[in-house]
Amino acid sequence: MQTSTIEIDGPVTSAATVFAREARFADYDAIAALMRQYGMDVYAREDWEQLWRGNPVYERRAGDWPIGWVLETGIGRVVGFSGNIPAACWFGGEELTAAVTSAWVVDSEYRSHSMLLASKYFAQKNVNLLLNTTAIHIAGQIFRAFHAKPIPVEGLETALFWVLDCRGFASSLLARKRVPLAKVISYPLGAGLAASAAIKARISSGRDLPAVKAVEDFDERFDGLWQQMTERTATLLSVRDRETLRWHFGRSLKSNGLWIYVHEAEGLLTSYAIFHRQDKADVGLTRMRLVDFQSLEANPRILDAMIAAALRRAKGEGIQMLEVLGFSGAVRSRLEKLAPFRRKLPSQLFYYKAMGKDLKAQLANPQAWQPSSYDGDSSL
Amino acid sequence: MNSIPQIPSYDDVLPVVYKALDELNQQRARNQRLQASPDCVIFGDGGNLNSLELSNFIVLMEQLVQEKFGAEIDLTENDPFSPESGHMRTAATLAAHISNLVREQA
Repeated sequence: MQTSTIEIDGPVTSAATVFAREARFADYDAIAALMRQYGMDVYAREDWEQLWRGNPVYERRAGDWPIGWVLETGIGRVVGFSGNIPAACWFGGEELTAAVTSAWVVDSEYRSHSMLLASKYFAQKNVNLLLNTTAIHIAGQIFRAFHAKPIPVEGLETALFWVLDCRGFASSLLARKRVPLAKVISYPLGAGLAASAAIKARISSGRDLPAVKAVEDFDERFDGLWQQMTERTATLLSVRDRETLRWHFGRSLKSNGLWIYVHEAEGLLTSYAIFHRQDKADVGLTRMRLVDFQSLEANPRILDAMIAAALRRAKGEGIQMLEVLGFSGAVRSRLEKLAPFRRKLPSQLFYYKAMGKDLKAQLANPQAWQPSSYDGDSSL
Repeated sequence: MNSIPQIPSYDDVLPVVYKALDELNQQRARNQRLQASPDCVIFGDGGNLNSLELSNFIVLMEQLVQEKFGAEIDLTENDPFSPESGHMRTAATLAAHISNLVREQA
């Protein structure tokens, strides 16, 4: 038990004494072991380090940035970690720096000490915005205590989805609910889902939709598109230039876990959609998520075409579902019309805290936001 | 009806801390309840509130201070959980900190 005390050369040191310190890259093994213990996805060392090294903001700051904080006991055991990833955002004609909290894990014996990690995160200077886009219920409560707010956009607590392999999806759903004989029961449930899905399956044929093209990487045209987006947008946007996109999706590009669709006009990009593979292996769920969609054109059929292309490919590859979290305004409305299913998320996932009065007032306006799974760490 | 001081002393704030602890105790098993005393540990060695309870406690304390003393305070600033100097260590350190915060605002 960690609550015992040990004696070291006279003074009695409590093994339960815990303090927070800035994390180092050398803490990887201890952090990875802790994350594995709690069933979290663990990046390979190189991929984990790439969250910072190679991150355009971290590089620009020459590493003058805390990569996170660990909780350490009096005997040097790491019992908690929260990552701190820098991200550039564009708002009001200037670039802001956001600190994204990521991979928060604390040993169950030391859960109250989560507050130490939180207090380090919220006390950091030289950032404009603190952002959490993967907040589970408890993290949400902690964020609220530290005066962070849910992003004020309707619908963020609801995921929209398409089911492509009804029986496979039903089986993983039942496994998640821990229903005995999940495979057997999945047949009738799958048939019911198939009937519901068929009602809204019209777009998946792709007929009469604008032409979209799958690409394998982010070429220089993404810089051109981003430049135009910065000139037009009034909302807060995470930076989407080529360098940032390649860093953000570097791991997924390597593992072929990314589908990128573009719409072109005269050789230039007008729109793109990014779908990210996000399976839940523990329940046998295979899933693609729409994590970003940006368009200079108001034509909603471009989004339809990209969704249709992704649905066809997902079906062809035996993927069970396609899902969407986030988005706002016309894009969200369109997605709500297209998607046949929706599910309530266990909690609001998107929280922010603006550092500074003016930004705080501006970001209280729902129109200032266009959140998606590209923001924060949910598609890193 | 209103005998509420504008600038509360430590002694004015301590009962408010106890009230928040009392509300927290309603959610806890009888043998887990916190004793209303100045040295009641809120966070640190000897404390047994989990992070969710601590979060709720902070929100509740700030609400009560607003209601009782009309002051908007932020208890999450100034390294609240520092083992040496954090104001969230005990009921007494918290009451003293709140009294100072409200005085600074006045």
